[in-house]
Amino acid sequence: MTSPLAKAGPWERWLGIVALVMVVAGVYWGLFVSPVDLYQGEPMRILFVHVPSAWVSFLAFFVIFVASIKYLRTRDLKYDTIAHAAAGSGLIFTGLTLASGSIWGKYAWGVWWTWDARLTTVAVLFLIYAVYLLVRGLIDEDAKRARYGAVLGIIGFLDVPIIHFSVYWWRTLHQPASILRPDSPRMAPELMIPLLFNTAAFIVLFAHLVIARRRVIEAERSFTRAQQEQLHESGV
Amino acid sequence: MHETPSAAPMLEAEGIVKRFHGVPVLNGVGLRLHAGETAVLYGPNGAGKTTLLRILATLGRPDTGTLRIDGEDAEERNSVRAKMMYCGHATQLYDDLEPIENLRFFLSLYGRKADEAAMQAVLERVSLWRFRLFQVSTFSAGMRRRLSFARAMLLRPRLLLLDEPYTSLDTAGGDLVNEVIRELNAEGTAVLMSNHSPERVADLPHRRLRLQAGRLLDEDSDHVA
Amino acid sequence: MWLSVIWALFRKDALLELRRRETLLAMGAFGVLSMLLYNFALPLDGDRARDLAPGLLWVSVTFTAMLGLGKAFAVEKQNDVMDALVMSPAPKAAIFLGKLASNFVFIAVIELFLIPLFAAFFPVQGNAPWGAMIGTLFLGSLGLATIGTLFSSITVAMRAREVIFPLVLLPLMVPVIIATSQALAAFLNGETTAAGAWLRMLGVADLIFMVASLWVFEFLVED
Repeated sequence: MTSPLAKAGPWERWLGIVALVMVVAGVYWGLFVSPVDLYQGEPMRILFVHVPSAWVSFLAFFVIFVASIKYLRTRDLKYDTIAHAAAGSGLIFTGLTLASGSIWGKYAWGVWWTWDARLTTVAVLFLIYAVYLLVRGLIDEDAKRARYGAVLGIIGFLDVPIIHFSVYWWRTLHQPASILRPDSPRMAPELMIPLLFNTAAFIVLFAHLVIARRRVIEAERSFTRAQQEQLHESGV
Repeated sequence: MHETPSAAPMLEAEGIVKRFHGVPVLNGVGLRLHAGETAVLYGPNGAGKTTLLRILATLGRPDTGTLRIDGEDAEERNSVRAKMMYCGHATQLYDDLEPIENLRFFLSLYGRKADEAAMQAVLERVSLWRFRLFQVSTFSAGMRRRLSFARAMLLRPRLLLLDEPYTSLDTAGGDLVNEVIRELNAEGTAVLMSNHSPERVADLPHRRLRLQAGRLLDEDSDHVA
Repeated sequence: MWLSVIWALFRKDALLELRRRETLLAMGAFGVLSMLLYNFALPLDGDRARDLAPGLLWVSVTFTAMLGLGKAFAVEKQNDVMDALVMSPAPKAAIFLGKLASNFVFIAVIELFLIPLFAAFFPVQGNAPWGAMIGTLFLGSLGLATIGTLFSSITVAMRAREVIFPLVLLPLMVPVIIATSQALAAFLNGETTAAGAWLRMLGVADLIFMVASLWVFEFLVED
């Protein structure tokens, strides 16, 4: 039997290396190479972290959604593990989105938190991810945890657009759309290209994290199993 | 014994495996039960009797293995479920309903009309008719078990699965269970029960099965059941 | 089959409620209490009351409903009745609809009871569009009851269920909470067009929740 803490596979290792190189390059590009928007000044460089992590947050939710449906169709724990891994990694990126958004808010509006539509949606996503992981942690049985998780993952994902639209309408009723609109068509290509590059870097990083997290989850599971089997064989 | 060679077995399980945290509780269980036959399942505590009964009742899903009820794949759940009934350790009754209210409710889940006369007959038989206006919450453990059994009598399933049916029943109650099982067998119903005391089923023609180390053995023939 | 199963579950839950009087009593008392507390904790006078009232009403209803929904499957948990429901040939989606029907009706009853209190506690004009507001409350409650019924079927058997149920329900309910409060506020301010837009959003949310729940419920209750 191979060690439960098997070494990282080639995909995990190479994606990790590529992610590292891309993230370092992206940070350098964003901080030193890219020009700065005249009106928004130096602090706008945080957008190079904020926007890609927001996109990856949504991507993670989509991965959970697809993996959850696949699990319910096949009852193959592999898909449940992928969903679990995506949630753990997604939580990191959602947290990063919130933190960078908050820092930007402090600069742009002088407050640490503002009910910006996008930021609010991400905050709700953060809560749903956290609850998803919390619920999973409370269930001992693999199959049951997978089923409950899958249902929560599906309902949570279907809720995302409803949350987004309701929050968006709610905000636009009370204040004009936020300034934090990097996806507006007026964005200069000198800003857009590094933004897209950073997004690609974050996606690679996310893929690496999911694969690594999946390996850890599977190692944990086979460790518990080995423990149980040993107990079983020793007749306890 | 009660072989009906032409028809498919009422219950046919093959290669049932169920693990908990990697430890196999059922490790390739196979079982055939024919119409009109009764089988009694023995085995030490923790042998997996309840796990097996729940899987056969479609309440649990085996990791691998196939299950056919009356010739039909158990994945066709709603169809095979109409043909069987499982009485578990818990009574599966609403405490704050009266006996008839309980029976009527469960009948409607099976798409059956509640026939007042039939309900009265069944309740009289389990000696609960006198208590029909009391809520189940006032019942003793034995009375609850009788009512739970009455539900199975009323539904007349083709396959009846009983998890230690004699628990908390008095002698008369146990005798009644045996009497009803004989009747059901005569009608062609197959019965599988888990049990601990062989003397309790002495007056019941049956096949003895033993679940041990994840395998099911036929005690009478010493073969895999 | 579907209708008789739904009816059987609804009838049974109503009968149990008439007998035990647990859920409605607890919900009603909590609803009244929360409205009293708002008056103590917040400066509810004149214009301010009118601005805050619709949101407070819906928050009260949400928390009150949560109290009942969290225990919706308690009677099925007892004595493993859920096993009997699952192993019956009744379609699981019909069982879901039956439980949803009783949960929704309980919430609706509480709302009808809270509305006059609300009108008395908060200085809202008597000529407010009560019919439209009650309709809004019902539409919001449908979404609340749908997701609440879905997840209370599993949290009822979980460790820390008292905590975990609100944690699952409330983040998912953010759009329902926004849309219902906004629609109520719009109706109170006579902005019928805005209210209509919010009601449409609420309707879409209810529909998505309903279709999804009917689809996934069996995965929660079946092994």
